[in-house]
Amino acid sequence: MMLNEIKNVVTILELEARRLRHDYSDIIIRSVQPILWLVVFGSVFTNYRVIPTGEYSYLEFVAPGILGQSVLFVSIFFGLMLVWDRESGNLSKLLVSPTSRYTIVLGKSLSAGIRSIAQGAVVILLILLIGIRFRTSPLLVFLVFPAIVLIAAVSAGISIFFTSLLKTRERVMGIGQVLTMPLFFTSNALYPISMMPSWLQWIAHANPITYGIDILRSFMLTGDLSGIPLDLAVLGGYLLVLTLVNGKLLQRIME
Amino acid sequence: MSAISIKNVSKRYSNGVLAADGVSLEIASGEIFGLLGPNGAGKTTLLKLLTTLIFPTSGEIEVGGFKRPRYDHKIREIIGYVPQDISSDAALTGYENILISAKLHGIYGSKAVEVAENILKRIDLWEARNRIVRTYSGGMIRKLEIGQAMVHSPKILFLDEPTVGLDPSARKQVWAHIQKLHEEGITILMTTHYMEEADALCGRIAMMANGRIAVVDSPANLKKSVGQGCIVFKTAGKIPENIGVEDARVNGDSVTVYCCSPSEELPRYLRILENAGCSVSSVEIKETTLDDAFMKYVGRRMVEMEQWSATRRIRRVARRLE
Ligand SMILES: Nc1ncnc2c1ncn2[C@@H]1O[C@H](COP(=O)(O)OP(=O)(O)O)[C@@H](O)[C@H]1O
Ligand SMILES: [Mg+2]
Repeated sequence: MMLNEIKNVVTILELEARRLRHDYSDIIIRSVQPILWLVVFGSVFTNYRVIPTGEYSYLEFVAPGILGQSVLFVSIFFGLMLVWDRESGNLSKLLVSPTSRYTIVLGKSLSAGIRSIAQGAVVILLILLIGIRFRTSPLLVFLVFPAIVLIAAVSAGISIFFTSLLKTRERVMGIGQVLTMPLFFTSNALYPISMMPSWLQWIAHANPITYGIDILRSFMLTGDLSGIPLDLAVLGGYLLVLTLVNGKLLQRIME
Repeated sequence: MSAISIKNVSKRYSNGVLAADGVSLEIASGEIFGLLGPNGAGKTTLLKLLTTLIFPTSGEIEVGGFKRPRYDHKIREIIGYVPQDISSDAALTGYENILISAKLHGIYGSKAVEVAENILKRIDLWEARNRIVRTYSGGMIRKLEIGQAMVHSPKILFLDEPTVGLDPSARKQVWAHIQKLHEEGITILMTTHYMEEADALCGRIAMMANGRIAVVDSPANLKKSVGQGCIVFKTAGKIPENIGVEDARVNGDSVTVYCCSPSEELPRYLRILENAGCSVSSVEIKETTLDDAFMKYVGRRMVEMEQWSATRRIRRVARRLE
């Protein structure tokens, strides 16, 4: 039973991998934004030292944040596309197969991870091209990829949650922006939490993206792994709860 | 044994629309059964209720002997479903689509490849198997979708408007394929708003409108129940007073004769008329259609209702744009 559901998750991931293999133009188009952030925003802030980032340059500090942002954007959009057309034959067919609702949402959330790994690889390449160097070991940099999957799955889960609550397509259109911007700006992607006013710090601490970017920053920049258990626990907790809730919502979405 | 049993089922959507209104229906194993009705009649809703996609507001549903909602997981193992909207993944090849469907139904490895290859050959898509589905024609996509629904050899197959939007030759191909599945003993429940389709394929049909089933019977019986078709003879010259046919109606230069099977009785009537001194210049045969039966049981013509619902749809869109 359990084994079957795991196999089904793998099948849903295979589906996404095959899709990506046939058409990766999306990944290319989505690389423009991180370039702009790094080259324009990052360099300006680095030169003027507006934000205190200790021993690291601002560009070094913000690079993991921009990587996290790319993952967030890809995944939010992915979750949105998944449920935005509730009448879609694609989704109906999946729901009629003997695959549990929870498996479907978990599989789809992790599928956002497949897409994000490809996107992440491109962004990491860009980061290296711009001349930013990772100060940690190659093993830690490699571990960035499983971390990306976790961040992507949580982001897609959030997106699936909000999309399934909305009834009409028109409303769903705007939700992408409404979700990504707050998640991004209230995280530690662009500035250290210590710089935020205290009300914002509260929000940042509740924001799962903060924990995701903390992992990326540990693996790419500081090499300090002391915060990782908490990061994993929070993200894992979010993923678990979102999967359970979305599994229930997925049934209701057709009604 | 009943393959499908529906008892007094109603479905009210959250927006208040009553899309199924006390529907009862028994479908036997091996039947090819059609739900015939205009857009908005509630056909898709009934299929979604049977395929475990939505829950009924009231009533009892059994599919393959399994009660809903308790045994939904069992039902999903024995049914295949082709939704009204395109359900194949347009970004994958035909082969990949079937392969993934097989895996989702617990068939893996070399067995999955074997199943996929067999099905591709059966649905005549072998040549096109490695093309991206986005490049397929409407008919090819429909056949692929039916193939995907067949990976686990389901006992019951649900087809929602299997030929909607297809050109006549593609439609014929899909019909032939459905017919073949029927001959293999699979129970098929399909919806359609094409009368010729219901007539050509289905052993029995249910006429639906406004969430209700008006009548259930074979197409032949339904047409018979309306009674007769007619033959219209156009004549050149005068029509004599007494032409020797009891039920004939004379109207200007035409004579209309009502009878049960017009094409078979035509020669006989033609002889009678000629003998009576009429010179017939042309003949028009009007067989009874399912639309006549629809008129009898629903009280409106399906074509009329279609137009009405189309108008309503356009209005709705217009309102939204305002
Ligand atoms: N998800 C839904 N939410 C609300 N109303 C719906 C939904 N799906 C269908 N309806 C309404 O229910 C009625 C029957 O629709 P449907 O079952 O799709 O009919 P058909 O398939 O015969 O065209 C229509 O009035 C339609 O607008
Ligand atoms: Mg329909």
